[in-house]
Amino acid sequence: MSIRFPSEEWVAAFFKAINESPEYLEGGKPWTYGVTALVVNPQPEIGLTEAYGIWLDLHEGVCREAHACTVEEAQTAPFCIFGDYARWKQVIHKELEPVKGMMQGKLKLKGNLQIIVRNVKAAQALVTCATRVPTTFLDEP
Amino acid sequence: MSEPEITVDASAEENGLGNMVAELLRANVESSDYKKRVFCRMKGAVGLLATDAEVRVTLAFDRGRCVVHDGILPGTTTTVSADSDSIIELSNVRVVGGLPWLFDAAGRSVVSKALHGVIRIDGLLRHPVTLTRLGIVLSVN
Repeated sequence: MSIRFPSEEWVAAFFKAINESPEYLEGGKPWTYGVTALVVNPQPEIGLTEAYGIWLDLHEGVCREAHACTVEEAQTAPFCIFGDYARWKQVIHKELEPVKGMMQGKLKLKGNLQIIVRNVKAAQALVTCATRVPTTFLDEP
Repeated sequence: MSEPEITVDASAEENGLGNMVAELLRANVESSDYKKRVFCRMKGAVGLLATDAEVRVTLAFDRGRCVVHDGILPGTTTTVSADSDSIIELSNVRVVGGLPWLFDAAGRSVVSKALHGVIRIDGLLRHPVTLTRLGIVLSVN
């Protein structure tokens, strides 16, 4: 069964996908830098009237906690990545690599870029987990 | 030695690669006196192209200052072209004794990509010092 993105159910499925992923267990091992939050920018025309935050407490290849959060809470995380709905949809479909998205200005990072550059494999493994969540999108029938 | 000044030209405000490079340069010269000294010796323009993202910038260095411009400025003869992941890999090459260290996994990967044309460096023979210094100030290690 597909799960609507974004939703608490989707965040729970993402949490499960991360912790079941051998790739993330390996690729995320060096990550000890705290929470990464993902923020979907609001898009009222598809029913997303407010920004939607996803709080991921990642540590050494494991996701210790995941929950939906406000944009204000997301901005307290050491790392926060912002993007429009269409961009996150591309990421989940594996059509947009996060690094490429950041270089194109489609995704914006708040946080220490040196750490992200050193740990790009962890970010890539995280994206692979997102692609494994069966997802339906707000802008699709 | 005056404080390094790294700015993003108005033309590059929406250029993700340009903002990333500027942020990385700032963080690197702030966190390392060695990189700061190297940065303050740099003069000349270097183009950087993320081929898959179709984004390009010019870094115009002038002894302690760097302005990041959108696109490749006319007359720029030194350019580094690579896909976005490889540009990140270039930043992960360690610097040992003032030179890029090409004998560990990160270094060997970059050499292999250069030999296979994935990473293309124009102007290497004419401006080896500038390119070596660029490698130093952009390295996160």
